Amino acid sequence: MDEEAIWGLVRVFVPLSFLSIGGGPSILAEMEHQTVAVHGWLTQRDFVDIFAISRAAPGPGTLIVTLIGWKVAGWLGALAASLALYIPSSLVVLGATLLWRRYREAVWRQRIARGLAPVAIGLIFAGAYAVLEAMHGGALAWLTAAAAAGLLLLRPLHPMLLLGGAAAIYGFIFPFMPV
Amino acid sequence: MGQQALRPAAVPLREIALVFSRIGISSFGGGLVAWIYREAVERRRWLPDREFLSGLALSQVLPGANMVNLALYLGMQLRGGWGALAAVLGLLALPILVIIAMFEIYARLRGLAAAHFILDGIATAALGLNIATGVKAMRRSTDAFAVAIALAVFLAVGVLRWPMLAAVLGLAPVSIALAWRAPHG
Repeated sequence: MDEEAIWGLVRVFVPLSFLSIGGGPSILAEMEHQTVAVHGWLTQRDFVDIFAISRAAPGPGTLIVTLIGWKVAGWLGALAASLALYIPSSLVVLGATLLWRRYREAVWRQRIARGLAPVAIGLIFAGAYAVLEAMHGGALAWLTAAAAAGLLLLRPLHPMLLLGGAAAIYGFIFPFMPV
Repeated sequence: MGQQALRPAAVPLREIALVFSRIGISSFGGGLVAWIYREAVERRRWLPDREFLSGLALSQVLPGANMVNLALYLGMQLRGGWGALAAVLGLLALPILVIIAMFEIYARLRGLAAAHFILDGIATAALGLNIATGVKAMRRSTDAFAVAIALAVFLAVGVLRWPMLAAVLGLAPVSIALAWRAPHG
């Protein structure tokens, strides 16, 4: 059964690795869909909590897959999920680095980069939207996300300051929230 | 593997691993490109400014976490395949242990409603950071087609919940074709 779960993790995260154009945030929507709705590894509640932990912890946000693997199948799951997410894209990057040196000034390379950028941007917004929906946090959740985005666009704040600030504010208002 | 030392003497693999593990463990909240730049270009002079920036662009466009990709690129430039491995392992090893420890602490607090609520706060703020990243990237691209493509991808994947693979395979070629025809660039 464990073995089955581990292959399941590999089958979910290898394709996502190739699709993570522009970084982890672009596969967030699909990751949530696969782990919660398709495979039932996590509840929506688990996913939101794990997402929060992965963003508050050091290291890249994509380490969320390590936690998903850990939750599904312990150390082996963590290892399998991490390798499945990091190895395929890493091979692409290593290959591209070699090509990149050879065709440094090529026009086609710049055009492909320009064409992929809007896809990545759309995926980032899709990921934020999908997780905000999954949270069922109501107006407060949307307001918090909008406020954090707005603050960061106005000033170059350290991300940790915003995450810590949100934690402090939520901790403070919790006693006043309807149960 | 094409190995080109950009500094006269080859950078030791241990130095690469150590520098990236320090960056990894102190990268709370993400977005530490500025710090990698300071270490790699300004302090250690591993490679010239332009090489760093083109690698940064590459790591943002290709699949994979941007920081991981940048580590791979820099490691590769310094010491080929082994350098890339040293950089990535250095970057990820400690954070993996820390994040699992944090999860275990959370698993013990799970029963507390307040813990969930505070994590909601952190998650929403983190989603706000993602949104800000998207908005900043949007501002940088001035093409009209870019806005339309970004909106189409958002609707397809985020709102309509179409399978991401199909949406990307369908829309990415259209986007690249439009970028090809766009006058400037």
